Amino acid sequence: MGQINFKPAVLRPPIRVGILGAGGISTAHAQTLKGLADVELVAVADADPLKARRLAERFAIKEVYSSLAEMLGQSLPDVVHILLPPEMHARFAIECMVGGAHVLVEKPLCVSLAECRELESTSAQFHRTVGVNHNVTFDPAFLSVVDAIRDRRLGAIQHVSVGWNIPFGGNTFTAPLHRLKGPGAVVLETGVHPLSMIVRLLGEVKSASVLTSSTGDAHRGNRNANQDTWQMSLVCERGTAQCFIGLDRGFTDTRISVIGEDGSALADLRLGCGAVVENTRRSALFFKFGDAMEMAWSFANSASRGFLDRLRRIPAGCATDDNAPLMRASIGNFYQALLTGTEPTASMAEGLAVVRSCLRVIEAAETAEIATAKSGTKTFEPLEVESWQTPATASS
Amino acid sequence: MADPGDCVLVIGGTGFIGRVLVHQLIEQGNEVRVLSRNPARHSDRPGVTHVKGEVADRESLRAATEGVSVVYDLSLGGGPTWDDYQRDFVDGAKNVAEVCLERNVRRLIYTSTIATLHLAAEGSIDESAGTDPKPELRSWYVQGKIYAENALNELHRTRGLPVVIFRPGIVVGEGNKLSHPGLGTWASPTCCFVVGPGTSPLPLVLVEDVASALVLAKDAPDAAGKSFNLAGDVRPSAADYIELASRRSLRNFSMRTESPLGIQAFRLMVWLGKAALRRKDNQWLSYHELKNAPQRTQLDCSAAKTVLGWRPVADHDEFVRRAIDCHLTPPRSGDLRCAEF
Repeated sequence: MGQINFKPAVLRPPIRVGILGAGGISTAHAQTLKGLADVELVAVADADPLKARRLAERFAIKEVYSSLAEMLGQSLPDVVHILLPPEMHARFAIECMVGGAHVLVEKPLCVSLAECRELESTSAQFHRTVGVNHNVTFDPAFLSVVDAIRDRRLGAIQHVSVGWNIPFGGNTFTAPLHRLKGPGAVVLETGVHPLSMIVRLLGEVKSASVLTSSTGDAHRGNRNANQDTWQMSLVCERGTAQCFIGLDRGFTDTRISVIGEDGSALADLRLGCGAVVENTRRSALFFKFGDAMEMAWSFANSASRGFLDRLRRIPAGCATDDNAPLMRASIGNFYQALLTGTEPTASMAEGLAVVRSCLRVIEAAETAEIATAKSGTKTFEPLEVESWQTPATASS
Repeated sequence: MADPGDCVLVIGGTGFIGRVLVHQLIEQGNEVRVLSRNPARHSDRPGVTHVKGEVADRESLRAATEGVSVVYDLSLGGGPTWDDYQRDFVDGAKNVAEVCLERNVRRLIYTSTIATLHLAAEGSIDESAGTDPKPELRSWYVQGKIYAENALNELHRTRGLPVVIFRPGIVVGEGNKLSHPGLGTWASPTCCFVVGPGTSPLPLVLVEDVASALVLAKDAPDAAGKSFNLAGDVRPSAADYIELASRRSLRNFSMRTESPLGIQAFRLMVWLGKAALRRKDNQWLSYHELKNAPQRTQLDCSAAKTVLGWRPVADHDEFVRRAIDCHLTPPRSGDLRCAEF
């Protein structure tokens, strides 16, 4: 991952913020911004005035606009949150930077290599800070893995494995991105979550091999549906990784396992707990018992802390909202960076690395075979193998 | 400068010290013959010939020493019983010595170990202290080395064997491990159990320095019949070493100190268990042996410097570079262990 070649700006509080795009995710952003000191949510812009007004009314946002140009020209925000569909991120982020605003972009930062290059050059030309909302990389369970690495308990990291099983699927994702990337839209939508963790730990994906399969409801009767499992083997800058994405699961199971030269760490993001297994410090007779007890204690300890954290959130009415703390940490980190003149942790460099990684995975999948189950069954036996067609190849 | 025509036999020339020694001997223009059990695993190269043999086989030694003027004995061995140590260490050293006498070899250079010394007391000793006066209370490995030294010294006194004995300390450097067994017992690659507080300066010595002392002994005029202890000038304690290893490697090295009494109690249990099972590998390890482990006694190595002109590395940073950094892989850009987050 590269570094920016200019000194990041230092902003003085209160930082004036505008939101571009009043869709579903804007509520979480507005809620988080309202809770941050030194930040003032002053404007919202959306092509749909009704949606913009609703958001403004709910969060007492004074200024409402129907276009970015109007918001930039009249409200002069210091920062704009780009909360539009992914294929629009780069274009509007660039417009913001040219108009003088720093930007926080929802993931993914952009959707093509050309956009990556354009964002990079615009940021350098106008000296604007760009952050990406890789909110999963601020999950407490993931951060406990990062802490274990930083505390040097694992040694050099050699391998990362992420399992990302979620209950929603291809139909949830945006149609325009699907038209652009075909089934690969899944990677740029939900795949950004596991890949942003992998990139944070091991650097950018340099090569990938992918096996996708379509086994269940997503495939039956809908030939355009996304593959519902993605298995990736990745070579990254500082090690290797595996990533499994399962869509339309009947359950959520999101976990990460990190293997280093001196130990391994496991984090269950859904349960909010994890454990580190280090090179033993016990003699041969006792190490199995002692290390197993230590691991059990580690799980119990992190589970207890997670439960206490939920209890503390009761007065605010968001005890069971597990996304709120992640958003607060991610967005808070971005504003802390602006106030101190440093790069945000989920920086533009990281955002670009994640996008390039996603694109490599999509490219690898396009040339790979797809394993499909027999129509009407959910078994893998026997497999039918077919190739997928991107919109580009389909039309040619 | 060595005579260009010197033909040198190195027994155990494929080991940790042996490889460096062979390299230095070749650099000085010697022709080197390496005796090992499996010469086929090593290919000949300019100046080095590999021959098959072992110290327990006198015939193989005779064949290997033909035309040889200097012999280095760096052989190892041992096994689960005392008979293995008797065969490899004591009888092996005698076999090499007898063949050297038969062949009129100009010099036999034998490597022993500082473990043969009694290092339990505070203070400093030099070579005049001799080996541990109670070998029967030491481990089979140490007993074997002491009896081998005694046999070689006896042959020097009675038959003029031109032997030089070296006792290297804890030899460190490329080719060994960062988690060096000389520091203590490693529960894992990053956790070392050390007997005692781990604060005494350890007799560490770089492998290149050991090899250079061995090379110097080949032609040093007053060395025959003498023994030399070899510890370097930079002597971190076990705690210092662990801290250095941690800091330089970005890994979580740790040290656990153990009381000798606690260890002895545990050993007693193991010994009783093995005795009940009538195991042959049941060696009683005395408390006398255990008291040596913290290596409180400091080694005065001025004899090697005076007699041989030995100059071990004295610069701390250079020592760290050669003893510790040689084992490390530099972290890659973006490694979270180096980055602020």
